[in-house]
Amino acid sequence: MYPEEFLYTRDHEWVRVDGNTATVGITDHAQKELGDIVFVDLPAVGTHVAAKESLGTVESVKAVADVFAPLTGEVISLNPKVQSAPEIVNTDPHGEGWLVQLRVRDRNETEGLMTTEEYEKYLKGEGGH
Amino acid sequence: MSRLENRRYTKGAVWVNIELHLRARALTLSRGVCYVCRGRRVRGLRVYIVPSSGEGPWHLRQRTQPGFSNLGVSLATPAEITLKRTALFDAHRQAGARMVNFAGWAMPVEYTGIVEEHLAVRTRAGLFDVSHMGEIEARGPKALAALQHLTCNDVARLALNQAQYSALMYPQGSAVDDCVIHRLGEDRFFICVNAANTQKDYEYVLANNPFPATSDVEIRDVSEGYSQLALQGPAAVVILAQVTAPDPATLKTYWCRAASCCGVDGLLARTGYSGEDGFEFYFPPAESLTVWNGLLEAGRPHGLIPAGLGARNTLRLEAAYPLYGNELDEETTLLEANLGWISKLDKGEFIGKASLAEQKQKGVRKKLVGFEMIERGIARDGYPVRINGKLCGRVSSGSFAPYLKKSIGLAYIPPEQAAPGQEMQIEIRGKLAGARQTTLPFYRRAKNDHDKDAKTQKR
Repeated sequence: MYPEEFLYTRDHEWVRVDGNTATVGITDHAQKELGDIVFVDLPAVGTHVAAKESLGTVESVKAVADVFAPLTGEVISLNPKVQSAPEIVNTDPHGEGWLVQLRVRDRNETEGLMTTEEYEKYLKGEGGH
Repeated sequence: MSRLENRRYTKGAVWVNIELHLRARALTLSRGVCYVCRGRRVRGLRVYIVPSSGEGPWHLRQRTQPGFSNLGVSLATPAEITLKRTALFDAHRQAGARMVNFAGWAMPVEYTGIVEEHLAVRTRAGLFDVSHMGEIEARGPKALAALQHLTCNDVARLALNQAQYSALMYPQGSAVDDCVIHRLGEDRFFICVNAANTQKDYEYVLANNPFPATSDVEIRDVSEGYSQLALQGPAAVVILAQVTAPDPATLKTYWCRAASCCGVDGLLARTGYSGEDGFEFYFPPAESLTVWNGLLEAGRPHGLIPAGLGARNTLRLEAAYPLYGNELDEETTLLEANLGWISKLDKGEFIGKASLAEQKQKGVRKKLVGFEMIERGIARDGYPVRINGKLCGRVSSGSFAPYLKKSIGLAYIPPEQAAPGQEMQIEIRGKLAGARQTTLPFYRRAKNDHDKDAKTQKR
């Protein structure tokens, strides 16, 4: 279910770190919690964000959820598909539904993130669905 | 995130979504405005409180309540409070519904998804459990006179088996609640009211009954005696006809009668809250599963699916039907809410008539308008509305509209600025996005043969 190569936050974002580039999305659990996603708002390319700061919002019909930056860095690209067809965040949250890519400043920050095993355990502990 | 597990409850009427608030506080730091509490504080803590008398997670609103000492400490966990359940609670869970606290009831907000359920109702049919709705009965020789005094529409115009959209009135011309009154006999009326308001309505009706010392009118809260299912959508009549007698096709819009559905006797009304053709069936709760399963089975070949309160809200918003707590409250007159059409100032005396008559002459203080977003963004309940940069009102209901596929909303603004085409800005969590006023409703279904036959309908 949750890809082994990802790291996860307690706020249900995933991140895949590849060199200095981090691809960020929301987890399958998060998209299920939100329901039908109809709008995605992302920061402009070039924006600098600190870890745990807002990295935009994902909105379903009934709720608004913030996406928080898992790592500190600069936004280097946005997924154009999620802006025109936000429902792909529901259908493929760990793949086609990625949100942004960051140029990471400090790779050591990943130490504060959860591994797949830890995240799955975290979901169970939350009384997950 | 609307996880029940993240909520903490007060003993009475509210829950606090702690996770959402914490997420919002992080946003506060980055943008300067907490869109959750919008800067309000309750005893030093910024919180987002949703009254259970409010409308569920998509109606997040701020409200300060008295008695909030030790907030976050003395609040109960979900396991410690008991939400009321309809007779179909287990059926909803089995159908995969996500359950939420709605007005103190555990209700399905969605099954397969709000968008799919919304589209099913617009194009085929959806089945809603609305058993949380309240029912109040008024009977006796003075029942008609009592309701004429308490409500704004002209109850005397109701023929036997006819139904009418109306409102219980405050003296200031605002609604205690909006309701549908069914005339079941010369001296017998059956009133469907909002779940969140049932107790308040019942007490208000008792307290303001103009014939309290006589037995000429008997008023009873009969809510526990009824389940209510709403079958809505263009295929509703065909589906219902398979399992219902007499033939529902011969029932006109806003008429009702005794009927047997799936072998269960009850009251069938051709009413609804979706903007589509549809029916509402009131019957004994013990028979709920029989009717629920019977209708779903009869409807399966027609694409009928169960639909939750999420779709119910987006459907009513596209149809621009008011929701009590959003468009209607103690402070808002019927004229301001575009409900002049149910305010029958010529019917004789009723509570609030003088205020409405005066306002009709002098003009309203605010007006309900519809708008659609012309820039990216979704307007949501409570967001500020600006015209030429000046704060002039708030969004009363706002959402992405699944059938119209755009972001729409209703807002109260100064009457002089109400005009279709007028551009406005909606303040979406600190950022302004353009919107334009439209005519209402946003969505109106195409008329069919049934409607042409039913031209004589009165609401």
